[in-house]
Amino acid sequence: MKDALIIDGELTVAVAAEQQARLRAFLERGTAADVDLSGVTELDTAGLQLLLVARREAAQRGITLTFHNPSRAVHDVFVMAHLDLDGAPR
Amino acid sequence: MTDDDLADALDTFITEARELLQDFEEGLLGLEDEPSAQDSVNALFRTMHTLKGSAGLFGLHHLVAFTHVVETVLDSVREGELAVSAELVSALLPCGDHVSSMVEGVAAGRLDATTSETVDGDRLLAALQPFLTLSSPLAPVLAEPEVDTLRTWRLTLRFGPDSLRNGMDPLSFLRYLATMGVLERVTTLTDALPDAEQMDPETCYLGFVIDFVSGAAKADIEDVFDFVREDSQISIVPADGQADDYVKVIEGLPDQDRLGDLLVRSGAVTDLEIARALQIQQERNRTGDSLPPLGEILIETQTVPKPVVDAALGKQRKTADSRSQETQTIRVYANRLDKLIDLVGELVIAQSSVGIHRPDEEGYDEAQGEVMRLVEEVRHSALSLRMVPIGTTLRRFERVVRDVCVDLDKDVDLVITGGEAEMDKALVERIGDPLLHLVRNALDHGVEPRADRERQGKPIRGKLRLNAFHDAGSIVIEVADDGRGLNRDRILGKAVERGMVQPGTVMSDHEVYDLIFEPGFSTVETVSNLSGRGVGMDVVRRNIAELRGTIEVLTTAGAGTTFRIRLPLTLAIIDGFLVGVGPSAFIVPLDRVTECVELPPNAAERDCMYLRGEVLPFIRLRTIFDIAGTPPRRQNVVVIEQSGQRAGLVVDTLLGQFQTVIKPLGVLFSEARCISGSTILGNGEVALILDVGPLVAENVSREQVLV
Amino acid sequence: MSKTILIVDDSASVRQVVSIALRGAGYEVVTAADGQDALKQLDGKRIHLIISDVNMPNMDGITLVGEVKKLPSYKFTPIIMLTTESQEDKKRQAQAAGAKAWVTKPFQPAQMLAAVSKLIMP
Repeated sequence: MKDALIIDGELTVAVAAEQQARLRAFLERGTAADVDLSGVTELDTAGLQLLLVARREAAQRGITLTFHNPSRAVHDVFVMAHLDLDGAPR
Repeated sequence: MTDDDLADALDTFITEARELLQDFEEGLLGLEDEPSAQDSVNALFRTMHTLKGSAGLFGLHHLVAFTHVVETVLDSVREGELAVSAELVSALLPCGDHVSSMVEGVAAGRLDATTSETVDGDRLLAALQPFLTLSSPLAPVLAEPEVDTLRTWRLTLRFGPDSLRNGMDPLSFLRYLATMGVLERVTTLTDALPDAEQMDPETCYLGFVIDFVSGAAKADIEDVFDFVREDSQISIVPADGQADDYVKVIEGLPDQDRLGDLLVRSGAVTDLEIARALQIQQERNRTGDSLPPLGEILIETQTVPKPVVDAALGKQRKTADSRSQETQTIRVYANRLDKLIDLVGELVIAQSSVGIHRPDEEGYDEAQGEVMRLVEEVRHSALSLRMVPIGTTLRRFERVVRDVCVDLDKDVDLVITGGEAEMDKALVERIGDPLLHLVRNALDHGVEPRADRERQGKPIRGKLRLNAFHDAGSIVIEVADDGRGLNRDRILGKAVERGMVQPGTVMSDHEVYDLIFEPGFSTVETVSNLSGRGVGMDVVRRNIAELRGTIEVLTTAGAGTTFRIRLPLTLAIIDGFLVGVGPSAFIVPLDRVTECVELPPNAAERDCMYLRGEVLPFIRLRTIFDIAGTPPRRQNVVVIEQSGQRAGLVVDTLLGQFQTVIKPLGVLFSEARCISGSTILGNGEVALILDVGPLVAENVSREQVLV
Repeated sequence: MSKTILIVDDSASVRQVVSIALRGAGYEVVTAADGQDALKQLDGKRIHLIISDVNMPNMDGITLVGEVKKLPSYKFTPIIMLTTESQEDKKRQAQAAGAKAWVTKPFQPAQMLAAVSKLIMP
């Protein structure tokens, strides 16, 4: 069974604490999930490291977490940092 | 920015400038009435500050340059370094008018200064010169970096944990980098990411390793990280496989002594990286004993790959080698060399002239004598080749004084006089170290800190004088400071404490000051970075004594100390005066001999005689050197003079002038006072060379007591 | 959505020229003439970066930095201080207060643009 999580708005240091809480609460449910990133307007290092930790945490719990529908902002960061959206760092 | 926008902005600037300048004049006049008004000083400063800032935006360099100086003056008033005076106000008032006229010029479309404006400006700035307490040069306009060939750099970026909280987003810097080149490979360093529970969402954990291809200079890449440098670890090194390029560049560079300069010029390292490595070097030097090599630090901090450092070290060594070969050559005055060659030419002719005469023929002796004379002259002339002016050695201290002053935070002017005085090259080389010690000592302990000098009403800038001159066949070198002078009580106290002097001993000032030359004597409680490292004045005196020289100290409390070194001109040869006592022969340096007289018969039993109404104390060589046999009926007195003191050497016979080649005495005789060396006479016998200084000092005062 | 920058300087011409340069590069710009004015401007807006002069009447730049750092929605906002080469101590004070970036006066518009671009892209 797969769940869907939609993350939207800013994913930056200014709101990092709230976004962290959302991600963690979602992981607690313990189901595999597609994370929809199409609504992310802004992604900075704080946001990026939140996503990376969430994915690693999920893997440790045996859950697959995949990032979907990246917005322009998310896409650009992943390309620049040479990271794959749906897997470990290249 | 469109032209319309710019014109619009320029209008704003002109309106703003006019308002500010109106206030400036009023503020200045008000300041004259109420010089302590901090508010109005602030406002005046801000006027020039704002004008300078705005003018810079429009590229109005003439306005920037002028307002910068006025701003600097007002800043010192604001900081309380400069008092408001009528003179200052009258110097500043026309400056406001001048800025106004330049602003009106801009309003009229002139974006550069006219010639008359430049002339006026220079005149006004000259009038401000006395008020400029510290120079703060305008930051130079940076030239655009040359677009170099493309290079690949390996950037390792570990951002400080607070970066995000400070508003510094590492990804932003990457985006900016991407405008300067290509991020060819990026590895996101996630190793510092903690477990989800421990993660602080506002702390920065990520780092990046980037292979960056760009034509930008290394310093420009470094500049990207200006704002995060303090808290982050930023390393920029030539990527693998690029080291060879730098090795080639380094090998092609002109000779350089300094490793840092070589590396910076090669483009592999920036000035900032060198500065940081030097700082690490200093810190380690402070904590440990050894000074780690700069190259090692650069490799260890991964600033630059080892092969590049090795190439630079190789280059440095090569430079040093070619330099040390240079020091084995000696500069010789052309006319002296010409004279020597002339003499050799004459000698060849004289020699052949001897060859055509048979020994019993008339003219043979004359030709032989000519050869002898020429040989003598050739030797003299050859020795003069070794004489060099001492100035080069003294001027080396300019750098020392500057560096030491920076370390000690003192202001000292170095004045060098008498640099043209000549001495033997070997001596010049060997006097360097003792002089260095004296110079450092004077800067460290002699010249007082600024505050002390100010309190005593002395000029803030101390003065250190190096002076050299010839005096009676010696060269005298003085190291004089205008500092605090030697402290008699402190020296005496220390000597008593160290058991060098019995408490209560009555000593003359001179004897007290002489104590500083005793082994193990140092009055400095805290060992400073410069002097006071165990190498004391005793070593200085010993070094000078080895050169057959003497050192004395003259001091006035509060006014300064002078160390006076007296050295022979050359180590190799002296003009001697040969005297005989019994079977022994002695040489008295001729420059110390003033006259010779016969020992008056009535003075035979006494220890002095009257010479033209003055008492002349005797030194009987026969007694001093314990020579057996009875003196002849007629004895002679050689009158010698040393440091203004005269004495008579009582000898048997006067044997005349003699060019004396000095042979040093062996270590066995190193304790022998009064003898400075030996020489071999024409007949193969040995003659001792008298050291007049100690001879007079040790014997005369005692003899005089008996008078 | 382009990023908004607040320029705080008592000189109208500095505000104007910097605004022109930044707008030309694609940023939104708002301006304030001193620290108090700046705090009013921050209220109710989303500002991504603040550029502030040090010397200003009413509230100077360093005080402003301290105040901004107290505002929950701006405590992580990057701040560029405008210092002069003779004010090394002011630069230190500003950094200690939390303004980690700086541009030295007098500057060319391109230098300001470079500093801004390091911190945020439009």
